[in-house]
Amino acid sequence: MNDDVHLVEICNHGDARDAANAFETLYKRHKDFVIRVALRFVPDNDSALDVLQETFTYLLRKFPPIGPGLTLTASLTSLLYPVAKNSALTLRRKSDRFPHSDDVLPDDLPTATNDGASDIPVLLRGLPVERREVLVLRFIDDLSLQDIATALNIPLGTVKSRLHLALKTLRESPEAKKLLSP
Amino acid sequence: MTHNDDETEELPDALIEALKSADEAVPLITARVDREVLKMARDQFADRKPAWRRRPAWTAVAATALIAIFVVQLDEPTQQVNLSMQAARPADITDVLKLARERAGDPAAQVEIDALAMRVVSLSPAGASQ
Repeated sequence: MNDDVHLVEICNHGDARDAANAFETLYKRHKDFVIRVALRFVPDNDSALDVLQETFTYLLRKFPPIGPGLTLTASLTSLLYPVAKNSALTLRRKSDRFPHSDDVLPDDLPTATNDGASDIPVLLRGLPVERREVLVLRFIDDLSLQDIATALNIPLGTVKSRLHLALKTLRESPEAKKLLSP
Repeated sequence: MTHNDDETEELPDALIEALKSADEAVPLITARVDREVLKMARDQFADRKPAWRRRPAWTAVAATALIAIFVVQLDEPTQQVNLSMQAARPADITDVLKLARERAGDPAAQVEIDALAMRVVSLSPAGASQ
């Protein structure tokens, strides 16, 4: 995060070349995260690319020619996540091509088979959306609990309880037991 | 509700790996998108000037004021020696000589200059009456 803070500062106050270079570094560092988030809400790569562009356009607008610019109070991912998510949901609502649902993960995940790992997507889909979202952010995107709270704009305690419940479900599931059995 | 309050409510590695593989929709970011985003950034920042040219106006005003003060001080004529008793510093012999040069030929001034010279070279405390 500290490095991101430095790059954001250059984007805020650097000259043309330095600011563009700093932004390029931020883009390269976080584009995979953004498109991964986008693909959880839109079903195809083209739409995810639109979300990616939209998200970084939003970030660029945070660096106006004059004024203080962007102040990072949490990780940049916790800023990018809601932007990417909202952009993806808006895109999906606008498009007639996609079914209207706020599921966190797309429904075309692999179907269950006999091995436990392939059952996990099914198990995830069975979780309430809010718990699944926290679980994914914590264990797939590696966000801290505080960053998750910031990204979702919910209290830290809510993040903890959602995560706890999601993990409880996961640990007690036959799929997880199957996966963890020798 | 009871749950771990720390950051490390953990899952077995195998389960984490399974979770990650469930999310492994392989993103394909085309070079065209990269180019467009980065071009947008370059365009956005194109008008940015170096930091020293973007300092706020008040720094320019302050710098101008400092320069003005400096120039005024340079132009200010050397202050005339004040030989009166109310002078900011005690008169010395160079002041007396200067005054003598300036008022050479003025008999009335000569008396005053003599008195001043006596006072300057006197061993008694400054300002003491002769």
